Amino acid sequence: MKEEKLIKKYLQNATNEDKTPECPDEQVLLDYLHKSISQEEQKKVEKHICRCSFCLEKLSIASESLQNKNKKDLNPIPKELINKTKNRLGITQKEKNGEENNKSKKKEMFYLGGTVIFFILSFIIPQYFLQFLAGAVILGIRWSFQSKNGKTLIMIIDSWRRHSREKDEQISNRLKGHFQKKEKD
Amino acid sequence: MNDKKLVKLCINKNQKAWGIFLNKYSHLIYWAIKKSFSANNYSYSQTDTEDIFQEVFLLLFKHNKLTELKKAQHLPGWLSMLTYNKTTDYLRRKISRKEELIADFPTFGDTSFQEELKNKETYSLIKSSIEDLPDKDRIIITLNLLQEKSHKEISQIVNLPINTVSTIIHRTKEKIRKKIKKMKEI
Repeated sequence: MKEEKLIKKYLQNATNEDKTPECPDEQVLLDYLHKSISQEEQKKVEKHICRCSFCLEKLSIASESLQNKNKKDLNPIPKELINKTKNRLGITQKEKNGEENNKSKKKEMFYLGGTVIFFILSFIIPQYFLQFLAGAVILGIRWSFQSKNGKTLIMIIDSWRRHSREKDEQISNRLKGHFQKKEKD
Repeated sequence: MNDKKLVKLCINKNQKAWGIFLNKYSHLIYWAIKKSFSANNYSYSQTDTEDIFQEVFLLLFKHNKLTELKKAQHLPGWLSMLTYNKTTDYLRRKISRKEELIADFPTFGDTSFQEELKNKETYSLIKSSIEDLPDKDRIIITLNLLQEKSHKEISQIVNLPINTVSTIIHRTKEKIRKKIKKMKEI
């Protein structure tokens, strides 16, 4: 036991604890760990890490991580921390937006599909023609309100109508003024 | 989604991919932070862990550190190494380097001249025994004594069978023990 302590003390003094310019790249250490390195390179790495506890520690953490990577239960992490990090990176909002987009797309497809199916069924089962047709119309309207293109179309029609109404009013006012002037003359 | 595709999307700042990356690897990074603290004999707080956790993700996301990863299949190991680097940087900033490392070999209190001489002799004997070891054997004995790794863990790091690792550890210790015994007899 005493010898072990002495060896430990000697190793503590004789190994480097901090990163030095001689320390190999992480990729080289990973190649060593995965045995995807030439024998010559392997000897080079071993020559360095036997005197560098910084690299040796890194290597052993990487080795252990390969055994632990899928064991989420062993490394429980506060949910708040993940959310905080997501916020800091600006991921949350966009991720949420993405989810919302997916949901609205699914709804859109549901209404469109329903419209088409009801429309076809109204011809296949003639005794319920009106009912299916009504269903197709309702779903079609819902689809037009749900889909982006439908919404845009409604907005265009609406603005066109408003615009034309304003123009009509302008023209009628102008005509009124014109006739009133003529009457005075 | 495999790691290669995930890394590629993350490099291109795909938000959805980053969400997946965070869910997939945050446990590993969190574990690596705790492990790095323990390896440095530092009693950490929750705030320390959270600070480094966010620093690692900032480094990956804002500085696009993932572009430096050469082989996507090495991602878990690479991430834990990156986390170790970040943790040691953090510790270096937080505490001045420990002074407990003794420059000389330990002297045992008020020792007499003869005992001190014996210590010095033991020191040079251990020194020569360790320095004469092949590199791989020295790695094994360092992992075993300094980092207190199990024989199985050591065998995974140095790519040797467990039996070989156990034999090397036993042989080295025995060799030094015998040398010291012999010296004491003289």
